[in-house]
Amino acid sequence: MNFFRRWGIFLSWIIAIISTLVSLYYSEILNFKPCELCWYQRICIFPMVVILGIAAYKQDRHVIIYALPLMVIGAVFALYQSILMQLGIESFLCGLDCIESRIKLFKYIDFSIISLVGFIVMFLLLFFSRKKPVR
Amino acid sequence: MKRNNIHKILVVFTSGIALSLMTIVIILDIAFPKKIDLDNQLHFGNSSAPIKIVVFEDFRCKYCKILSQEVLPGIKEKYIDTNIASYHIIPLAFICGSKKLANAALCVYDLNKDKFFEYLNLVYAQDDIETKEELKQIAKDFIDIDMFDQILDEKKMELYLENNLKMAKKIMRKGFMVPTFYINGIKVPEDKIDQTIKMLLSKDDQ
Repeated sequence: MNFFRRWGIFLSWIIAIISTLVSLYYSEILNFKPCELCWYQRICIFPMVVILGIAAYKQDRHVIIYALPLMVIGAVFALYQSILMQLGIESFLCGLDCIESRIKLFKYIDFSIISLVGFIVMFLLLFFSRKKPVR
Repeated sequence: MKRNNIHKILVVFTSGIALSLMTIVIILDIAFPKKIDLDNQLHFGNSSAPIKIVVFEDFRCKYCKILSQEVLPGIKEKYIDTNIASYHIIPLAFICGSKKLANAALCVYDLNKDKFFEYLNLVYAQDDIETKEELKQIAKDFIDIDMFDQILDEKKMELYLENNLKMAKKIMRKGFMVPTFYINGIKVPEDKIDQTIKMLLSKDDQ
């Protein structure tokens, strides 16, 4: 647990940065517009770049309790989206770009699954970095 | 405390890297010439000319019309007729009612390329040409009307125009607008066309 306490927030922040940069690259440079479900996940991850960054700098673990719910919310949307995409159901929430181009990372893995994994990993990293409860 | 310092340094370092990465990607994206597929697009002038002027336009766009009538003749005389540049039009039809006009203009281009601009100017001269019949009327001086009908009815232009629109959106992204000029892959504002060509020419001379 010592490892998490030292590096949990920082690693979580790195994941947030990578997610944000990749997401923005696809939407701004490659012009694949994100769908609604994607946007809700972005809402959960974009602020983490600033929040976790400052927390990592100050080594402030109080931020964890504020960040955890957002990871859960993001994971829920990612899970919903992953299920939709696996079952091949097109929801009214999915944009044309997602359905038509079905872009996948490494040509095989849907973005929604990567997003789900990201949120889960971040959640675990932050969860195990919490302050020990004072008895 | 040494521990805290490591974290601070790492955070600052990582932030620096992330910001640099972003900056580099953005600059690369803006500064590099775009590859525009010109096969099957309207082209005028000598295709092997060193300078390629590409314009995305919608024939119903008022500003496109103005540019076409005011700026193009000058460019044509100075650069196209002299084999310095070739002119390529990528027609888009997304403005209300522009599909019919695009189809008609493309028909005229296919059947009698030399009369293409003349046809367009005639259409422009009468504001608000709406129907296929009116477009046909104007075209009948230049081309075989039966062929015209046949091509129009085949609707193969629709797929072509749709693909053009997709390509245009991909290339122009947030700056999607008509008319947009690209000279040798770099976006150029319409008032800088002359300047840019002169600059490209003087670069070649060096």
